[in-house]
Amino acid sequence: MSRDPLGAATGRGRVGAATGRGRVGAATGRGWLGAAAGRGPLGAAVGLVAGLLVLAPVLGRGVVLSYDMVFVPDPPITGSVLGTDGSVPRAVPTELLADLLARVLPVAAVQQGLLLAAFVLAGAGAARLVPGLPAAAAALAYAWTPYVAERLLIGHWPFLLGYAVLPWVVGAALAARRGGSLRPLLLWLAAAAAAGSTSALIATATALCVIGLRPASRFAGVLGFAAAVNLPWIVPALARPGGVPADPAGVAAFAARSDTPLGLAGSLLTLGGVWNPATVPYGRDSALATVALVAVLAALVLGLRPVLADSPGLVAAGAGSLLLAAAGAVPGLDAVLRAVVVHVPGGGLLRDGQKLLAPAALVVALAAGHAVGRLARAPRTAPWAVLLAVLPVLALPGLAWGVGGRLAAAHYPADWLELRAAVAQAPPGEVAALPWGTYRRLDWAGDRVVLDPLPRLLDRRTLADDALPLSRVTVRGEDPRAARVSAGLAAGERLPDLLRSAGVRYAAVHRGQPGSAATERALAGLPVLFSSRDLLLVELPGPTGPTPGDRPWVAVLGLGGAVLCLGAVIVRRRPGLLRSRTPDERTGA
Amino acid sequence: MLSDDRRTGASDRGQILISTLVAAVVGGLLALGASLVLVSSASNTNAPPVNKPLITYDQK
Repeated sequence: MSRDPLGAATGRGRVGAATGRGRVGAATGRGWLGAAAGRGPLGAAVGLVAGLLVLAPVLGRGVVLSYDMVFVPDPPITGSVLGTDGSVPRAVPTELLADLLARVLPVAAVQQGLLLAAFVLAGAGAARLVPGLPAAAAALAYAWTPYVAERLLIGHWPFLLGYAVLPWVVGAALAARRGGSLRPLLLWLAAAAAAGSTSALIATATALCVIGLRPASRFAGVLGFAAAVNLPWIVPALARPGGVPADPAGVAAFAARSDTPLGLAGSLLTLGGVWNPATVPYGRDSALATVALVAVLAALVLGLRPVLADSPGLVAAGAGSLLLAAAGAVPGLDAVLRAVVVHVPGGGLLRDGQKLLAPAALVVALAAGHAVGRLARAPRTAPWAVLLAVLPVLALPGLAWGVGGRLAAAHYPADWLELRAAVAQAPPGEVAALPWGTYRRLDWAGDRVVLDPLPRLLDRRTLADDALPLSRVTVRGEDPRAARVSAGLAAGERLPDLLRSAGVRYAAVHRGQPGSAATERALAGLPVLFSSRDLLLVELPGPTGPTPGDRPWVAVLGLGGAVLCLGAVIVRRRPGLLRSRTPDERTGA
Repeated sequence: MLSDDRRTGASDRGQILISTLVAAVVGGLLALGASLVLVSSASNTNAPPVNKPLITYDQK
């Protein structure tokens, strides 16, 4: 094998010979995937160091609460977690898995372990796809991105797990394309499904791009298996009365936006551009963004060719993800996206386009690894290799130390757990989370914006506002009962009557929030079941309206179907059914 | 001696005056402190102003 970077990267001749023997190990044993087992620990170490640099201020200090990232102590496994209560199954089955882990470990350890694991998996997975020591550069380029910073701050931890799984999916898809077993690919797709709908969508689409359309049976098999292991959220979404309605206003509200002086294209190309300006890490609006752009362009110019040679499908997926990420903000494309989001089942997954950038981030990271390798091979350019390798960190110092100190950990005050106990002891009945609003500021958790933890904390069906209030617009939620309460409040109806008619028996008020005082006045005189500095629980006497019942069959069908399919792949011993045919086999040579 | 009585009386009046002034200052300070404590505790009650701004998804 020559030292030519492209040849070294692809190892095409040897892979072909190896796959002729029909063993993945042989296929990957000596090609550029061959030393993957050795590069994995290197990448894992890089990912671990990166993760520790980011998470050090919060490790061992309680749970991190940030925007949509809500973890509660001893989380109850409710209908919302299982997808049986008719709510939109956004966190199914990821929260269920996290909650099950929290049965045996402290919830803070579970949360921080998952976050750290995302960094380690991301680093190891990216490193396995690049030959030699430059794999470390690929690991760093994949684990240290504005995408990671912005999704971490906004609390989309399942996306980060999906992001971490993606390079493993791609590695397994490449091996399958070269005639290896499909089993690793299917197992990694199942792992992506465990990380939720968005992660599964990204992983499945990328895997299909990598393995290609031919043979059609393999394509269809992978697609079918992916659908089966995603049943835990697909079934609740399909079975939901009225479907999953999407507010068209959400497309513009959650469209990618420029978070650098480089405009939308530059922001997305440098792997940022989240819609929420409050979750942009420090430095993105400075000249450092130009450093990031130089790093990305250098990586693509010097290192894209071997990536393209190895996997044109991955590069196509990356380019497609870039286009989809921009779609919501590009005139013309935004109308198409709006139509898809509103009218196509599951189209809502494309609403927040920037989250789809993961394949593009992987392409850039792999290109960076190859570029570093290419520079390192010539003594004259070796110093540039070192610079390019560390450029991701230099361009984004704001990710370090809790994303510039913006992640904080805290312990729930005792009265939160006492409220949960009071609710548990009360006769059956639904609880309303008040004051009516989706987000809270918790003074004991750094006063940061966070999704109301009460619905996650209480082991009861909880009615909560699910509209998403933004500075300029409020994006409607999907729960029709919540919408009726919002409309009633806007019309000046009496709160206790409104809640009772919605089927609510108890009202839990989070004090010290906007609207708390008015809410307490509206509930004055009602029997108090619990009261503390932060929290109040009252009963709403009198008959209540009907509440939708739980549908356990949804979980049985969804989770059961997924587990059966996964089990079939794990126990299947006949390799022929799970092995991709090589080109030679397909042509009968 | 009358002069002594007068001197004693004058001294008493002076002491009374000083005591009154000290009491007024101390009392005033106490009242001020109590007011501050009351105002502070009132602002820390469980009933914050109703017009506290709405918490939005895109706030820091």
